[in-house]
Amino acid sequence: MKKICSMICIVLGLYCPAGAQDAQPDTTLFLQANQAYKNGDYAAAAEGYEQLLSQGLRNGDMYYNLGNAYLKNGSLGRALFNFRMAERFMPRDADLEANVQYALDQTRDTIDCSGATPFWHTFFFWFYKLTSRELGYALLCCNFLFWALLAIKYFFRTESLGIVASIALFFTVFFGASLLVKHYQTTQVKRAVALAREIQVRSGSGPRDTVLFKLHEGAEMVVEQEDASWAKISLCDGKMGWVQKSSIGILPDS
Amino acid sequence: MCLLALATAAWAAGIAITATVDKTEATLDDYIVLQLAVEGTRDEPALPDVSAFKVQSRGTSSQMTIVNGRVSSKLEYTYILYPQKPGTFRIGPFTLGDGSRTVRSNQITLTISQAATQQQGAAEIFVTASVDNENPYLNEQIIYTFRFCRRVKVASASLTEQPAFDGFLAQSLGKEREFQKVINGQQYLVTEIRQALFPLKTGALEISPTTLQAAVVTQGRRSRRGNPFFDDSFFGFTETVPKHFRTAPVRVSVKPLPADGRPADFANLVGRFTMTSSLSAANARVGDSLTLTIAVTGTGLLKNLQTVEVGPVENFKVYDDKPVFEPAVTGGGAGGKLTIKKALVPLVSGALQVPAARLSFFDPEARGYKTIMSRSYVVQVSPASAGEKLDIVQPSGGTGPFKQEVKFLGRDILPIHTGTQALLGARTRLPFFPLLLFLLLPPAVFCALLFIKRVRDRSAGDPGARRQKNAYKLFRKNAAAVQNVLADEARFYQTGAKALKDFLGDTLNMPGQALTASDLDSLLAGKIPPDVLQEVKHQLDFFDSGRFGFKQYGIAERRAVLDAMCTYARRLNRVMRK
Repeated sequence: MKKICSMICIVLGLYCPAGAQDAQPDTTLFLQANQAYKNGDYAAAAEGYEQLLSQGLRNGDMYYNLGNAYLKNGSLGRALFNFRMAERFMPRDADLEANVQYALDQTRDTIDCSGATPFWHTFFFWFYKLTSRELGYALLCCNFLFWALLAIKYFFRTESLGIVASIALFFTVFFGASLLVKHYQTTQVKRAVALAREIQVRSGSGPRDTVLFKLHEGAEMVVEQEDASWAKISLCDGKMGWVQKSSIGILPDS
Repeated sequence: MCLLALATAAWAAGIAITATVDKTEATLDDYIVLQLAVEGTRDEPALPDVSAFKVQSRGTSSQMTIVNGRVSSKLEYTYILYPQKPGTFRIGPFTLGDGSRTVRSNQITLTISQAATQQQGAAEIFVTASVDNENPYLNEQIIYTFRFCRRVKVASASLTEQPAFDGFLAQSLGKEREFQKVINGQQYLVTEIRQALFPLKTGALEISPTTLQAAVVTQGRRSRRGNPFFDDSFFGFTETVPKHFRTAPVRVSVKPLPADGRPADFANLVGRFTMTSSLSAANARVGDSLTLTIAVTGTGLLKNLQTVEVGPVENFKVYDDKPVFEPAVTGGGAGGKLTIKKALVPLVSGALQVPAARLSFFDPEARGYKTIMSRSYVVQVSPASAGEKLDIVQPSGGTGPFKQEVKFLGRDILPIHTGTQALLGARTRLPFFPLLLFLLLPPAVFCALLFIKRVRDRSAGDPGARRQKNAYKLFRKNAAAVQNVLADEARFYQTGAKALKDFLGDTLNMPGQALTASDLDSLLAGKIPPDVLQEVKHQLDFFDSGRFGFKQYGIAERRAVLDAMCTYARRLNRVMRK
């Protein structure tokens, strides 16, 4: 019996928040950073939040606060970088949405990404509004529901449950596909934000290659390829080129 | 034309630049032709600072010479320099970069004097600029007139520099016009351009000069004087000389509008205006729409007028229409007609009054403010027809709250999150293997349940199979009972025979107690190994002979037979399951 209880605890461990298993967070440092932000010392606030992140305390609120501190301190690129990280944890946070829009309005480059973005965001809202974790839970719930309904239908000869089971199966496939795509997007598609005030995008991975165009702090891009110090990037309007990796912030696979 | 070669060249590695001008002394009315001759390269030399002149390129020409078999090429760049101010100016050197070295040309000194103060009566061509009023009021219209007068032929003319009219709002008064005019007893052909100017600030303002370039037709060396037919450039008897003319700057002193007598509704309108009005109907029902049309006509900056005060309009809902301005040029200058329409919707019935419109302006000629008014109207308003729902918005002066769009006054980011949830760690996605485990667990459980159910169903549907399945289990139970009665000889034979026959009956799915050794031969021959069959038959005989009193066996023999029965029952069970 003890063995069974231990197994259940281990499996259920995945539902526990990561922080519950991590070291105790530095509450004092968090309060100091908040106070520095309120006092207008945004550099100190950003440093405090960075320290907390480096201690392994990762969540949407921490990235959001760090983005705010950077934005107030005039580092638009780092602000957007951290806002984008925060979006992975809390994509439905209204404060975050407003501040991201504010930061985007401050960027200098006009990159035509109008394409189908509003369409995708409207018709696939769950994809953008749910985290990978939430999609995973939705998949598990629908999967469990489907098999439970199927078992009831089969063993208790309840024919009326067939339609409900079919709906549950549809949502299982639906959330499963969404989770796969999201997983692909966060692990295979590397996104980046320009951190330097101005970036020269060149035709090749060398300082003597032709400058194709320039980007400014806060411009967002996708990293197609990278080597030790250069990254091949593409913009959503199709422009491509090579930039120095030190001038951009690549969003890590969280 | 006297071509002056002023300086020669700087030679370096076969590259040379030579700068020449057609004259070194000129007036502000003249222009100077500058030529840069470049040898040994096709690069254009860089121009130094020539801010005292306005520079105009006149193209390039190339020249190739072969002397004693040696080929040399020369490129000539031609520029026209228009003097902008009097004085002595040194231009150059013109430079040409050739890799690490720079080749420089010679320098040229030019002396520019004021334009010749020739009497207009004596000059064949001259330009003038003037305003009709050098001391206007703020916002008062003045007319700027540029005239190009000539009594010789001019092949072409163009304005090379136009005044900026800083401090004025300029408005064109139509296309240029051309007329004959006698000036000091000489007949001139005059081209006139007029602009209406409205001073936007008080004090001394200057209108910068206007510059005109003209190609003046002069008698050529082969001219046949006295025959105008041949005085045409087509026959080559005349030639054109480019000339450059500049007007003097015009100075204007702008007066402020007097403070005395300024009406409260005065909106900086200066000029002379008249106003008329009309109302679309004298009778209406409550909720009908009437149109009040106000037309303001006159000379002045009328297009900036947005509306005319009509007030206070009581018991009407007033909707302002967009004013329509129709510009017009009259003898007095720029002006036009401004039409303002207002839709009036009666809110109550009765004799309602539409008050007169009122417009105040400053009349420069009268040097005072004037207020003009249109006529007022009385509208007979009858109640709305029965059943008609009057759905109009109450005027803003009513008792209801005044609503307006909420507008942003500033922008900033939203504050940080200070709650304790910021101290909890989080993951963005579930770990892969537990996710897979929980994903596969429900179907695995379902499949297991399905398997169990099918097995149970199969067992329930075939009693023979169930007997066979449980035969050995039951035998072991019975064998244990036989073991217990090993010492009791009579019960041993009886219990042992029952255990064996029940086992055989269950295994063969038939009544076991009726089985005989000969039955076993027919049922099991070929299905089980012969030694097993032989042993089972022997055991059956053993129990029957003991039970029915044919033979008596010792306890050792009984134990041996019991052990053998267990062994062979196990083998038989295994064989039969296969």
